[in-house]
Amino acid sequence: MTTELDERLLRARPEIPQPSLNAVERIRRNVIHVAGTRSRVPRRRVVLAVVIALTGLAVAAAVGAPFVRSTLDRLSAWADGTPGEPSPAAQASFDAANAESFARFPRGTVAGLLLRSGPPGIEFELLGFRDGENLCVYLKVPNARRWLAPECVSRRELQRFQEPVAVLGGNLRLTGPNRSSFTVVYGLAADAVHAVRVDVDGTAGGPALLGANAFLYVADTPAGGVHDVPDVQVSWATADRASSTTLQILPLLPTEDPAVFPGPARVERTIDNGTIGWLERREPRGEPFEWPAQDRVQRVLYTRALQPDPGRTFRIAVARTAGTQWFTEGAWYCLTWLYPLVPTDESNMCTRASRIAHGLMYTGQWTSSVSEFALWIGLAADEVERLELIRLDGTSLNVPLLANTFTFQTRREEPTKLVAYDEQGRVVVVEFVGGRGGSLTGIAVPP
Amino acid sequence: VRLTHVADTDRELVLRAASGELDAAEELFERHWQQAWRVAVTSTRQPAAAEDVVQDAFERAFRSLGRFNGRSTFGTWLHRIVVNRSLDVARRERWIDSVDVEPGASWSEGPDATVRDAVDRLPPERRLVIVLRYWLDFAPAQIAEILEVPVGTVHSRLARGIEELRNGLEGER
Repeated sequence: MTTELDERLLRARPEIPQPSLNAVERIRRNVIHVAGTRSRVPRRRVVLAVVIALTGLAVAAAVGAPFVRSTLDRLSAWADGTPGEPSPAAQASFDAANAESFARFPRGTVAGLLLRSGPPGIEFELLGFRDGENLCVYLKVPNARRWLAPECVSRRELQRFQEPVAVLGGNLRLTGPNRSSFTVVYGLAADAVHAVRVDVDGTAGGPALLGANAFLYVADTPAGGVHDVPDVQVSWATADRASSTTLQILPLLPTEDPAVFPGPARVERTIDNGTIGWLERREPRGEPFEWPAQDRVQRVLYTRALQPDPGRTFRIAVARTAGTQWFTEGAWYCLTWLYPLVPTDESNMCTRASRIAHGLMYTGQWTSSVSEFALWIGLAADEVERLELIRLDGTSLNVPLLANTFTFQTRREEPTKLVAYDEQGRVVVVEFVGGRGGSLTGIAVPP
Repeated sequence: VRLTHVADTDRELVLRAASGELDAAEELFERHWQQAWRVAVTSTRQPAAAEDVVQDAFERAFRSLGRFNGRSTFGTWLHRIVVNRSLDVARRERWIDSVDVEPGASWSEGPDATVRDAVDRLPPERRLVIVLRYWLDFAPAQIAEILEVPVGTVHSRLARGIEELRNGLEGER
């Protein structure tokens, strides 16, 4: 007998998205390769390509005004210590969440209330604070069972930022009290910005609250939901300029052309049997850490937490695991992000230990889909002595490397090249990371 | 002249692929990738993750062809791997999912979004039987084979899932 709920369920059958032909082709190529080399270590590159397309669209004409900064390198609200207004209540909940998380901001970190917005009784608060050389914002969701991860961006990245508005975080279907659903977008704004507007999918949108060099947009999620691949357009106006950023997350496929990208183009030495000695030998590094949960298909053998970037209050948990099922048999390395303010959870990336054979494995994450920055974590084989991140404009930075772990931040749409060197300074890995064709998750592949 | 294999059974293709014939592996991929994709993307709700699940499932299946015992069909065997991997993804990514909706993962469009959202809120294992039965049209016996549980267990999981859905939907009225 068919019930009314049966019929509703059948009607609710979602339209199943099709994978791109390129994705199918890539999968086909990889799995057929495995079929042909079943006894050998598979060499594949896992690509979850995600991109932000940036477009410029004028929104308003502006008239003359006194000179104020239109860049994010110096924000007046952040110039003298803590930005925003003191808020004992917000500070108390910040302190409590900080104390409960594994990776904690330094004791005495003061969070100021930047903005507060939302319908009556459901107020979202945007807090601002510093973490060393990073500017951080944190969205406090009313009655939330969990804290969202803080969004921190380094001054160095902000100095390179050409636009007066940086989108640090957002959520297009954030669950509020009583299962209400909200669209929330927030970020930093230069002194010169006098208006910010957010539009989602070209249908819903409105002005954002602006103050303390920050903006906060809160609205009910449209009843029809958001598109599978939503466009989020953040528009702004300064005294002499009006423009916008459209964040559209699409899978793009072509990688950057190594021939035109600055920095080394070729590997000078190939690593074939890379491994992580201390993890294999279960030697202590960093801090002890208890993996959040035993996996059904893997057994955790040894795990530690490390802070490869001393300038960022953030840890990477690393585990050596062993498969317990026939389809997971063998050695695995697992990585997970340990953000301050959020409880340790089970999101992680596990890859067969053999996949680090050629030098690197890495993965990127943004804590909210609407963010212009991504935080990357990875593991390097023992043979890797140094890591360098090179941008298309030719600038580069050394990526902190500690006990084979590394982390770095990029702008999502900006292509970068990650180069690994051995102790003789020879190039052992060249990988494209982020940008329109880079990978979100990957392993080094032999040239 | 290479004779074309016409309508080899999956079992024959598995045997040929296990002995190293790549065109047999290609044929297995051709026959099964779409359904594997449907199961993966519906189970994980994340197209990017589903791509990885499908690739991983085929890789695992192809690496283990020699161990394929033929007690179930290749399709069921493959779906079992897809389902297990999808459940792993669903469990591991629960935190990310609760914080944000991955682009491409939203089912919240259309007039029946409430039902889809209610299904999404079910625990992964219970959600899975509902999805396999109602959205992917697997018969209870097939679901039992994929999940390696008795058919009666599938029926009871379906009943519990439906009951939970009914309670959830009534609670929203």
